[in-house]
Amino acid sequence: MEHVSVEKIIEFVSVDRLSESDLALTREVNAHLCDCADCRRRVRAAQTVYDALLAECKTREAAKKRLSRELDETLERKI
Amino acid sequence: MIALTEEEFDRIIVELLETKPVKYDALCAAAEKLLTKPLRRKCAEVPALGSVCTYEDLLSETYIRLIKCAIPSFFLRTDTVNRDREGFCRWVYTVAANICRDKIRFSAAHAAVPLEKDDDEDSIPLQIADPSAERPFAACEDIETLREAFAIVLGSDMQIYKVITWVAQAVMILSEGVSKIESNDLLIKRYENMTLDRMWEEIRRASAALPWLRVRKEDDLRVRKMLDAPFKENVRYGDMRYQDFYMKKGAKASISDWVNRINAVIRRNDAWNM
Repeated sequence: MEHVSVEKIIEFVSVDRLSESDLALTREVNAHLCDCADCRRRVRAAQTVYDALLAECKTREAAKKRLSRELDETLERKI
Repeated sequence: MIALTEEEFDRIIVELLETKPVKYDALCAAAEKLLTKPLRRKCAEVPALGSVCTYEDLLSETYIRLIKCAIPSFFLRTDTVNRDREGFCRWVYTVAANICRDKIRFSAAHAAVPLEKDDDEDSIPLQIADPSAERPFAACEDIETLREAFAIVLGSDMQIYKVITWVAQAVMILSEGVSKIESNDLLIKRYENMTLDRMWEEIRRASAALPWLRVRKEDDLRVRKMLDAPFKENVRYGDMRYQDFYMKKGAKASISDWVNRINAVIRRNDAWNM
């Protein structure tokens, strides 16, 4: 099964409005989450980290950048 | 407490988990039904909240949060679908409460008046609402953590005025969104001339604003038994006024001391440390 990409996870957890494109993204990701326990775990973890980063960074863009770095470092450690 | 019907709850599950593409109508309708009144009231009663947003803003933010988290953090937190309707309602209330809390913190951080330094080093476990940032997001865990703390406190052998102080402060912080520092002053203002009997009744009434908190019958009986115990000849603990228990160091220091002692009891408890 193809999993949700890191980029899509970052976009998903950082959604902060209900535009058409944001809703479309959430529908796509949520549809996958219904069937994939691994991605559900990844999303939960990413959401926690993103929330903490947002409190620290104050802006959505800064928090997304930091999250992207964190997730890249996590992936590097696993390889 | 407003509740969802079985039909409303089932519709959420069908739309989120069985319909393609995923739909959010039932989820958002449920949030609106559960939260409109409490959020409206919160904005009206808590200036720190009402000054930075409307209840509609809070409701919108809650919708977004629910859309992102309903599947991974509630319905499919484990591999089997969570069909706990009451648990879902509690979870929605917690999500909204967390959003309110963050807004209030934002408001406080941007306030013109500098905040008093909180010199109370031993934080109430309640303030560890998100116990570990490393654990996956789980609004349910916050409720369970708080419930555990209340159960430990209400079942402890500490003096009744200390127990009631901790519970009063906890309920005040959680239901009114005040900070710990603000709650110290409010506790004194609100309760110091009340008898402990009356104080307990007031706390029970205020705790009704927290739907997830249920003071068990045995805990209530236990507290009433402690209030019935004699403080001195012909005078029950329940008949004494709250301020009669202040120590020489004064009201605030006394409250701080009592809360810290109760926190220490919580930390020592095996159930808390599991």
